[in-house]
Amino acid sequence: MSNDSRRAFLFKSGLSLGGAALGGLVPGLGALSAARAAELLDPLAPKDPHFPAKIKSVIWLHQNGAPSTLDLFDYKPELIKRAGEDVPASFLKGIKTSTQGGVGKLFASKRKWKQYGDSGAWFSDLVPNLATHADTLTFIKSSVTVGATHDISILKLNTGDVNPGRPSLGAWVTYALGSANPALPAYVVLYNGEREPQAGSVNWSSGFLPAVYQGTPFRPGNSPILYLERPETRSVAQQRASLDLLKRLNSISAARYPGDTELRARIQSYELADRMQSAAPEAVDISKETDATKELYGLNDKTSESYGTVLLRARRLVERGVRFIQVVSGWPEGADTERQSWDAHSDLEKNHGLMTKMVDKPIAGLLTDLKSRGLLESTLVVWTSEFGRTSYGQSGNGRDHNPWGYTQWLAGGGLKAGFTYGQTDEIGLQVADQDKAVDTYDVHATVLKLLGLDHLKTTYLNHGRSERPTVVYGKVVDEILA
Amino acid sequence: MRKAALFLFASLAFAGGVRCADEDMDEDLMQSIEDTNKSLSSNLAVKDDRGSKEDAKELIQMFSKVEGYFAAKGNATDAVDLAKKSQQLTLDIINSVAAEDFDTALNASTTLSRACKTCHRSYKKDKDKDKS
Repeated sequence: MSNDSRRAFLFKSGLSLGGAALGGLVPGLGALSAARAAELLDPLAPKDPHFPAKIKSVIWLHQNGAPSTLDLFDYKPELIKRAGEDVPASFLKGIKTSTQGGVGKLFASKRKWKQYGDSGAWFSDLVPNLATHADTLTFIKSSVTVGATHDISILKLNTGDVNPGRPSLGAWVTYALGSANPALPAYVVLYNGEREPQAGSVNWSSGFLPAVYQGTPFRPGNSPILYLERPETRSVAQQRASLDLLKRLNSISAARYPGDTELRARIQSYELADRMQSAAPEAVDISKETDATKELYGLNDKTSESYGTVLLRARRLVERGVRFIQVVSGWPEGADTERQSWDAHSDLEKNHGLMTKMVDKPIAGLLTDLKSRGLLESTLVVWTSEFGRTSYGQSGNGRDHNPWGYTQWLAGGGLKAGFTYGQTDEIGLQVADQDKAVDTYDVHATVLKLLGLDHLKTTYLNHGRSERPTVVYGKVVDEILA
Repeated sequence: MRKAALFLFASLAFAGGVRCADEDMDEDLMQSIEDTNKSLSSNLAVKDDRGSKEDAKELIQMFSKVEGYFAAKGNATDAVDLAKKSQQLTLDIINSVAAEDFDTALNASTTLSRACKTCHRSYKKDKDKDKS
């Protein structure tokens, strides 16, 4: 039997087996539904949501280091008035502070505030470009979380829990909906800066879900994935033959160990890598974008260039059907900054001046671009962070971590645009009404609902226990939904 | 003198032991509630009628102990109320399961988890303050 006919035989056998499996006729698999059988053959096969989805993709903008939303979106005249005073005891009730050097005096930065749009939402002078989208944004000004170190709170932001081992939101989405583009990963992680986000890959991990659902980090630059390019000394045909052999050998092991999800993921990833060799570089190649588009994203400015490039890539990935794009903010290339994130424990003025200059124009550009291409209706953009920052000062001119009340916002399909849910107290330290507090898993439940998924029914059996994205919590913030 | 010192040492050790045991019991109770709540969520998700009811009944007993603990402690009316509310919510879950309405039961279980969190917000921190 020649190689060709042997391959043809295997191919046809595979098709027959696949057909049988799709029909639910494979012995031992029982009367499986076609969808389930397809999932067994391809864990990334598209799956139906629980109900009609409002959006197709999510761009999850993690502002790493935790910005002071008090200096961006949450205008507090009382804080400005009381600046320099001790924090009144009534505002500290129910919270435990652990600020190094003790709780400082109430601190107001040198901001100018203005209302924008028909919604009259307040924006500071640090975000003039985002302010033009006042009527596009949906604010949650009663965000809360667990206050811990950045790494732990970032883990909670992405996985819903403070302990490692759980899948990230993007992994749950990929597991529940599959891939809409077989040539690209369904879940991509983007970042600007010189290295991967310091909180690490546990934040795009698939946890106890099969490994195939984890996020794929795309590096900045022309070669987004390490070792993806085919060596020059190897032809396409040689590579294909190697991959075919590898797949055959791996499939034998996979049949012997059907519970080995790592192996299943590896088989999948080799094939995906083969397809991605051409698809991924093309997806992130912004050379054919117009100068006007590049300027829209702030690529003409050194401070916003790297973040703008990442967001332009995010838009291109949305166009190509990528379900979940997790963007972690880094810092501007070559910036002279001690803290390479939003973590302004000191010198907030300098830090936030730089960081807002990095993100303001690119994010505003992304919203404008998505809208003009008719993509915003089917996309959800989320501004999120591991926590906010305190209304009292630290180190004289900085702010400490604040998990008790901060602002996050969403924009896109299925939302009440130009709407604000919840508020903080008069000085912006805690949420004003605990019944309106929105925790990380509530945001997750809401994002899932927009994707057509019921967080209570998005489940996975792990060692006999049914697990879900929202652990034992989760309440959809229905008030912000259109 | 030596006997007196030994007696004092033994008394202090005994008192310390009781105190530790008392604190440990609270921690264990809270841990058991957390574990049983997770188990309940899982059993409701897979529509395990029997498992759900067993977990819920255990939770009611444990919330009753929590109510008793805070009632005895005093100056914790909201914690007592939350413990009572948790018992009622768990009872609602049992009724929903009996009616095979697992969706309602699952929703009630998230409300129950929120009640736990609300209580922790005030009282878990008090304990931390004691430690520092």
